Amino acid sequence: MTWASWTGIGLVVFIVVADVVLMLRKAPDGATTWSEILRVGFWYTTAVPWALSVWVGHWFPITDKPYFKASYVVVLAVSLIWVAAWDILKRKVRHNVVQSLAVTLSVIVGLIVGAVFWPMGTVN
Amino acid sequence: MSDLSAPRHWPRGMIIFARIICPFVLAATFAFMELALAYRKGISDFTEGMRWFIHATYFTPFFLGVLLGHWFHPVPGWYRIMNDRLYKNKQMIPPIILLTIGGLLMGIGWGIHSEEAAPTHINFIMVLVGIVLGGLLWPVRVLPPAGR
Repeated sequence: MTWASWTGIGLVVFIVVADVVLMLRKAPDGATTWSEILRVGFWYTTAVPWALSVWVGHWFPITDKPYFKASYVVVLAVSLIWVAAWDILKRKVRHNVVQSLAVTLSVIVGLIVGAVFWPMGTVN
Repeated sequence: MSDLSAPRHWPRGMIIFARIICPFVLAATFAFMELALAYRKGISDFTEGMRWFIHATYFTPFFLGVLLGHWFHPVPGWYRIMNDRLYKNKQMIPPIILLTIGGLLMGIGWGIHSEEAAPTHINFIMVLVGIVLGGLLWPVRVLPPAGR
C-alpha cells in the first residue's frame, strides 16, 4: 500500500475514534456538530482553516508543476509563519475584524499557496 | 457533514447514532458511486477510477469549496440571518440548494469533459465558487469559546 492509502486509513480511524470520544464526552464549547467543532477550533488556532485550505489547493492546483523544485519547503515555512503570526495577533487584538480577517485570509491564501507551491503529484 | 444528521431537537441517542453512522454512510456512498462509474468506464482500478471521476466532473472541488465556505465564513452573525430569518431554522434547506447546484455543475462538467480530464484551473475555480456559495448560503453557527 502507498503512503496515500495509509493516510486515508489514518483519517478513517481518526474520524471513528473522534466519533466515539464525542459520544462519550461533551464536545468542546457546546458544539453539537462536526462543523461547529471545526469552527470552534478556529478560536484557538488559525492552523485549522489554513491546513484544510492548503490541502484543498494541493488537490486542485492552478499549475501542473510547482514553480521550483522542493517548493513544498516554502509551503511548510509559510505555514509555520502564517499560523504563528495570526495566532499571536488574535490573542493580542481580540476584535471581531481581526477574527474575520484571519479566517478569510487563511482560507484564500492557504488555497493559493497549496495550489501554486504544492500541486498534487509532486511530492510522494 | 454531521449538520445533515444531528438536528438539536433529536434525542441524544439519535444524535449519537447519527454521528457514528454519518462518516460510514458518506464513505459507502462514495464507494458505490465510484464503483458504478468505474464499471461504466471500464476501469478496474479503484484509484484510477476515482481520479477520473474527480477530474471529469466539477462536483468534488465544488463541494470541498462549499465545506470550506460553510466552516470558515467570515461573519459570525451571518448564521442568524440565514438560518433563523431566511430558512426559519429548517437546516436541510441550504444543503439541498447546494446539492442541486453541485448536481447541475456535475452535469455540465460531465457533458464537457466526459472523455478527458478537465483543465487544471477549472477545478480551482470550482473550489472558489464553492467557497463563496458555501459561506453565503450555508454558514455554520459560530459559537464563542468557553470563557469569552
